[in-house]
Amino acid sequence: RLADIAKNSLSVDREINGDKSSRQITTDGSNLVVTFSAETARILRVSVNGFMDSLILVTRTIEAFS
Amino acid sequence: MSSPRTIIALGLEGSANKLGVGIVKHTYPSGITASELAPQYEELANIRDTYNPPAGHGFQPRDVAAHHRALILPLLDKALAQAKLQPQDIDCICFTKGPGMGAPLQSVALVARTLSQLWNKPLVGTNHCVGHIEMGRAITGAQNPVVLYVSGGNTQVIAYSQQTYRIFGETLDIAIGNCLDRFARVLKLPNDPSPGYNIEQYAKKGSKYIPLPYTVKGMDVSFSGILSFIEQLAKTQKDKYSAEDLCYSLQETMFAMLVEITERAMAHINSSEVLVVGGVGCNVRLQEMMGEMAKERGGNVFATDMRYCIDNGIMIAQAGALAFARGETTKMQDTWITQRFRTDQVHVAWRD
Repeated sequence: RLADIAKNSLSVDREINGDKSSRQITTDGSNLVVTFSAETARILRVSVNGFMDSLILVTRTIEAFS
Repeated sequence: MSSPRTIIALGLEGSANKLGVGIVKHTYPSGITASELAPQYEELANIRDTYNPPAGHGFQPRDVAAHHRALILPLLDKALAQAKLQPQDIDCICFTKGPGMGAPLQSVALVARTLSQLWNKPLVGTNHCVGHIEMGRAITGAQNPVVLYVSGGNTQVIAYSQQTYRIFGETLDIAIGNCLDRFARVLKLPNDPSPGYNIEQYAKKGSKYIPLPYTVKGMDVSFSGILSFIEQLAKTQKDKYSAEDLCYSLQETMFAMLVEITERAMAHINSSEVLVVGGVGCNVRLQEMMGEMAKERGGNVFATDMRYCIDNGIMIAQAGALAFARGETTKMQDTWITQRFRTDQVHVAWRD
């Protein structure tokens, strides 16, 4: 259930470099599965780093209030 | 007569460098009817934390977003504690959908979405500008004023008509607060508590008026020309013009422009009331100049103090709760944030 909550919160916003990178978020039981693809390694790194900040915020919110 | 109704709304604001969490309680003693019936409102919490970069610098989206991410959960805890509420007491979670800076808006929206699912409460995506307007109306009791919304990110003259806040005039380029903030950087004034506040203090000590470009264009204004001009003066003629006189002249010129376009709107809709909202609305000199004009027209200027004119969470709760009362909520897939969100795109269902 918590994985679904994270997925729902994180899926709403589009990727910034929409044409050069993309991500897919799914759940597998209580695991959140995120697949990134990007045109260059630099763009991939930027996408993943940005996503991690968002993910950490979501998990901290879940920890604080569930 | 319908039964009395109470709505408790949580508001989350983070479109610029201010992070605000507010909780408001609306009571409708005779229930929510179809006609405009403003609720009794009670502030339960209004907490804010501002991110200030060092003097001479502006704030970058990445740093602002990091600030918001770090502080939103502690602020939320504090707000609930102050209001003496549990999550189950909240009826709706209001958050700023836009306009504003992307990454900061997004960090606040993520928390809103997560809380909505954890607590099983509906979301209300709210327009930042409408938040300012509704808070101004609630605090001051102004009936149907022309609204001057002036901040670092926005400069608009707004009047209400047929369930829309219509934009009568606005800046054609940068907001007045942006002009003030960027000039403060050139002068290397501190950013704490806000660059505009520090310009205001310097301006009080100035007295020599330096002629600057005056750029009103019909119902609209433009500030980027004035900014270039005065930056040039400050950089190349440091010895001739004191910082105090420059700040004084900048305020006098730009505020006079705002008074002119506000008066034009007032004449247009035959109103004598002005409500000033947004961070620049805290400026006492602006309030004075607006007041003189309003008095000449037999009217009044209304303004709020820094708790409410500077970005805050309770204004989002206020506007959101009014929409929620009329059945408006935002589905999860529609809770995306947007940097551009015109004030007149909002359907003001809670007014006639």
